[in-house]
Amino acid sequence: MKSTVMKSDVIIIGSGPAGVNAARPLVAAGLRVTMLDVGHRPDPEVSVPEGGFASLRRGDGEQQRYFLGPKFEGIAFGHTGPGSQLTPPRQYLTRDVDRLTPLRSASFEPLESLAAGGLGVAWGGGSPPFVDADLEDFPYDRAELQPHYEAVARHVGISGEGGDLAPFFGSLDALQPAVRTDTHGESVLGRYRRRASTLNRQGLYVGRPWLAMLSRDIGSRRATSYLDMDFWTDRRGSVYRPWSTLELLEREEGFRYRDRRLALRFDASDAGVTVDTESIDTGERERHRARFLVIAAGALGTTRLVLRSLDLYDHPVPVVCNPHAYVAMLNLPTLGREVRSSRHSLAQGCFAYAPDGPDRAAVVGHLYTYRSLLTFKLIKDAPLSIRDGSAVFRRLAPHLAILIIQHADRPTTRKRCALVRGADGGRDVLEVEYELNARERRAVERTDRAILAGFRQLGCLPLRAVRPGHASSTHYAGSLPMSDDDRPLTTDRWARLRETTNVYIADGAAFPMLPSKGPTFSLMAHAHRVGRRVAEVAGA
Amino acid sequence: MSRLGSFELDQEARIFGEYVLGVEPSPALIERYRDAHHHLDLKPTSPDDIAVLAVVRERPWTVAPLDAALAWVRPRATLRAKLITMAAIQETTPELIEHFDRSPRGRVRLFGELATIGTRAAIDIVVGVVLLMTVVRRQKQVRRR
Repeated sequence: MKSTVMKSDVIIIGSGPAGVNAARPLVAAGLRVTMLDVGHRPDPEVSVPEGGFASLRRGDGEQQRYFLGPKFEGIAFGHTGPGSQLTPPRQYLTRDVDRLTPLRSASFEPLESLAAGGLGVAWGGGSPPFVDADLEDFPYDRAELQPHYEAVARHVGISGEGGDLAPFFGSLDALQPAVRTDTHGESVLGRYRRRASTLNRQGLYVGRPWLAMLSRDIGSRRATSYLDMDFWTDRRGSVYRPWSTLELLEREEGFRYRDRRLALRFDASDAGVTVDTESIDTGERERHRARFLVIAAGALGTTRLVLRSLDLYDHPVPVVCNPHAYVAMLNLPTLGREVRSSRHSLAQGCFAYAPDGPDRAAVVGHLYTYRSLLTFKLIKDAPLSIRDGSAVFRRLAPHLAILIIQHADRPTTRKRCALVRGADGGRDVLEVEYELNARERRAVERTDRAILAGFRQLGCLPLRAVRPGHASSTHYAGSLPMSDDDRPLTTDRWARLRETTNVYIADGAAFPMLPSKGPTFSLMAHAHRVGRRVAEVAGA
Repeated sequence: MSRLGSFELDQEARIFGEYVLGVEPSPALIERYRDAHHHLDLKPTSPDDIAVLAVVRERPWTVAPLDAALAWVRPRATLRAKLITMAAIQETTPELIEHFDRSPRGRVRLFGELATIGTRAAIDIVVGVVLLMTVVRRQKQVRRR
């Protein structure tokens, strides 16, 4: 084992949204930070030229290279599952995951990433913050999280507006003006305004989404120019990606990024922390030392690392994800109308369903337009011949909306994972069992029906609901939950792993549950809070 | 990866290209279709698949009904995978963009076109199911012999 000299104050494992946002306050406090990461980068062969979706399709003879991929990897024939939404330029984010971080499950099919930026590389940008009703199981409330939301929003750039969704989102001083919505969004919001009081009585509230998409420039990142290429490229940096923070951090003297390394285990004592890594290229082992360790390897990656380091094999811990569904809907009022091609690709609308009133936790989801993803992807799931499916979707795709509904998730005895020692010296395997109980299933179905009934009143005709399977929300959490109870394999209110004095969990593993809101913005705020705390404890 | 020879692939590309969009595929598009077969697993997975592909190469008019029937009976059949591949290539070919990026039309015309497609689809399914059963039965008889 090669041993590196102890140079760091803090080691951070992982460069996703949590890792980089934990690093910022640490570096700002003058601490020496080393980030360990596998850190795969985009394939230059799949780079996307400058231009809008419509103009590239009309003019670029090379478009198959990035729309379908150089090896046609963008053409999928199987079921719609986790990762189905990844376009070829983003598919590198799953590289080596099966080989380096194996997982076994009959019912849980997650998407994990070892890329620089983690799953944040393909994040849809939805940024609804948690409010007190969402944080009931957490050891902190919104007021405590607020300064961290503000700090992250100033850096990341969150655009949106309050409107009828204000009770579900709270306020944010750093909020940028909302980005422009497209023809679908305008149609749904227009109809909602006319029927708001009726829909509100039914518990449905609709408004503009909060997105990690710039409506004003931040540094070298530019406000969106509505080119409709956000699923394919980050050329102007309008949508936040964690690697943009990584690039800024790498310019700082106190920060070192050590990629091509898989963290294997840590050993923590009051004197400090060591982390053993393996080169993914040569297999060479290294030992890194620091005073503190912040783990942000993604909830499942973090779970593997902690269980292995504590030698807790076959020891079940909880796991949660957001049960979710895509619902393809036909936006009837837009049929026969011209649909603007100048648009962004992310969510065009947002809804909150709160039948018990806006002061209770709501089911929050987003409305997308099926526009800049190609129509051939829809055909395989339609009960039509390819010719007729193609003919139908060519006519209807501009009027198709996709509603994404995700539900809150709490741990139960049927949602567990455990690390199993690898056979014959192979890699350890994370085994996951995940099942909703009958009460949860009924609640999900009942809520989905009520939401779709509301959208029918907004002119959207549901065509087909797709439940891509557990874990397909790509939101995972709950394995090392923050708790005020002093129990093993939990973290304290600062997300410090209770078995240690100096190991902190900056990602979703520390969330006790997942509210019904895309958690990435909240994860970044949580990570920022952890970073501040470690800086404080380190005496910086 | 497909083991079909380039003659069969070219023949398939011409039949499928014309079938999906009603446009004779250009040599460049045929080349792309062939290239896709080098990267994607489009090898027939069952004797039924092999038989269906042989029939459509021999009698191109059978593609529509067989495709329609397979959409219900076996949506992951190799024939459909090959047709999706062709549809994807066509959709990302700038010369064919007019077929995909149509200017909006009035509702009456839109609903009329959808009704025509729906009627055609219904006929194709009925014919296709009978045809598919015949192809499968014949394939089994041949194997028994």
